[in-house]
Amino acid sequence: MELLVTLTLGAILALSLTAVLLTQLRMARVSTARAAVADAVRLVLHVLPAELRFSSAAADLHGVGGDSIAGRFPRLSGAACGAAPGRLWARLEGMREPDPQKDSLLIISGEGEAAFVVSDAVPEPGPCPMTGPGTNYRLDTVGSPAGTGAVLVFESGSYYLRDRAFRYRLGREGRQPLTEEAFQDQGSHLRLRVDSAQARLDITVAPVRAAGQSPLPPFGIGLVFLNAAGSQ
Amino acid sequence: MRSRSGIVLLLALLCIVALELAVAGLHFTALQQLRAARANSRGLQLRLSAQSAVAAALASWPHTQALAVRAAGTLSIPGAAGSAPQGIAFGALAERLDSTLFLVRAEARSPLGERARAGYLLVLNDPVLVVRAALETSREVALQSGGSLSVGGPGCDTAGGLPAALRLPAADQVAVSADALLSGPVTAVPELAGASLDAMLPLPVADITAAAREVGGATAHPQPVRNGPICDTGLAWNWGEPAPVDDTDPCAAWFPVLTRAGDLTLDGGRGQGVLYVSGNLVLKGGTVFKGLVLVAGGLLVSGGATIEGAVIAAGPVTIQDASIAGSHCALRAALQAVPALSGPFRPASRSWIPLY
Repeated sequence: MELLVTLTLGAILALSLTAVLLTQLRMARVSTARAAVADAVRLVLHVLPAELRFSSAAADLHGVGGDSIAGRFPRLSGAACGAAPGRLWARLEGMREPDPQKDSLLIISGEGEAAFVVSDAVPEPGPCPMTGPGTNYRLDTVGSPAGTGAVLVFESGSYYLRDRAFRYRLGREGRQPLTEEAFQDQGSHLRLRVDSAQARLDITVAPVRAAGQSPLPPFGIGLVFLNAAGSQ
Repeated sequence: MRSRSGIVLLLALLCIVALELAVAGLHFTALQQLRAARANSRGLQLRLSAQSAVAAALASWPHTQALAVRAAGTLSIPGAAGSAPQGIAFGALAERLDSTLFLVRAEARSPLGERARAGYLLVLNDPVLVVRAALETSREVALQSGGSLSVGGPGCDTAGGLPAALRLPAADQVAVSADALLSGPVTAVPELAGASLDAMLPLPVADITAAAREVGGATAHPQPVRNGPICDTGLAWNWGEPAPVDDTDPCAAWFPVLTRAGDLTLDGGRGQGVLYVSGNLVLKGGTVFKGLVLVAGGLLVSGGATIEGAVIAAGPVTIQDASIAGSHCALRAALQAVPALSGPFRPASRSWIPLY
């Protein structure tokens, strides 16, 4: 009798512990999956605003589809120090070195903006001051830029919310995933709204629904471009 | 018996260890998410603080000191410094990029060493820096009988004045008749050819019209109206007094910003300030206007009319038996007395730029 009670209690305890353990493991799986989705959502809602916040919707965006946005995205910025025909010296800071394979150049002066193709870029002080933030570069250009003004170096590319992931395509290269496949294509979209006062990009991402999980609601933000649309 | 209880104990211990591991995993995941959320929140605070520093720099812009800064020189802006919750400190300085353009470099830092930066371009609002001729146009100019176009207005020292009398796409686009007067340098700027007023203006049209009062009709006869020692600025046709008898005239300091959607004819009267017309503008009947005139269409100045200050027009300009006298003094008075135009302004193309 004593043995029976012990075995019964032992079995109940073992079953209860196993059930709790399985529940915990399932929770851990769900939690990990949701963390991955949250990471992916966070990345989308961080990268796109960071890329576009300082853009001019009229001048820098080439096109916005329901699931993609193509344009030129800033990679370096700074000030021009001097120029010669087909050549510009500038003091720049940014995410990376200037790359003639990828980059274009925009010079903003009191007169307006002028864009140039970059054919070569090398660190070279030229007439730039040796002190201050950034690195001095010589940028060889197609066309003759002005030697004063603000300088932006852009990279052309496209972002996609397609095939369940957030992807980036540089120039004509293939689309590279920046996140795991964490989104539903249906329900994830980009919508640009432009009027005379402002440009706004609505970004909505619908997290993928895993088997056995309750669906997460779509996440979204409205990104207002700092540079007013009407100023273009 | 002993071995059986040992198995149950071992099982229980294993389950508890597994449970602990699962809970620890959950805790770690939750902690990571919390850290990411906090980092996001701090990043947002830093970014907004940097933008606040830009706003503070614009609000406390040291105009006089800025004019004295040499090219590539920097200007500290004490008024831009401030702090935000969680120990975030922000501030800004400005760097002169060319004769008119400044880059405000704003930065916010957290006690943990994280930072966010933002750049803002602005153009100095000094008339002789942004308005470069008594008359600037993207089309042809006809100086007909009795017409006069000059630079260096009456009673205004030419030192620090407008650099040219006329600025247009090509020198052969101006026709001067034998009894007309063109006095001062003529500057040919091929890029001006066919340019719209928006492209020619040193600041966005919206920035002007936002501060403007609408001119109600297609024909106007402005007159200063005084009510004792007070200038009656509420009246639509009171555009100030461009020719005060003495310094006590209350309307001498009234420089309205005026906008007209469509064509406008000024048939006599006098006024001052900034006038923007989206269509064609005609001045006749001895009209006197002092300040800055912006015309999106054509301009006809005739019948003894006078403009003192500067004109920017995107259409053909005809001056007949009338005059345009470029005057940086009149320009400065008109622009600096108008609150919306007295500070620096953003370039027409873009103002915010990323800084890394």
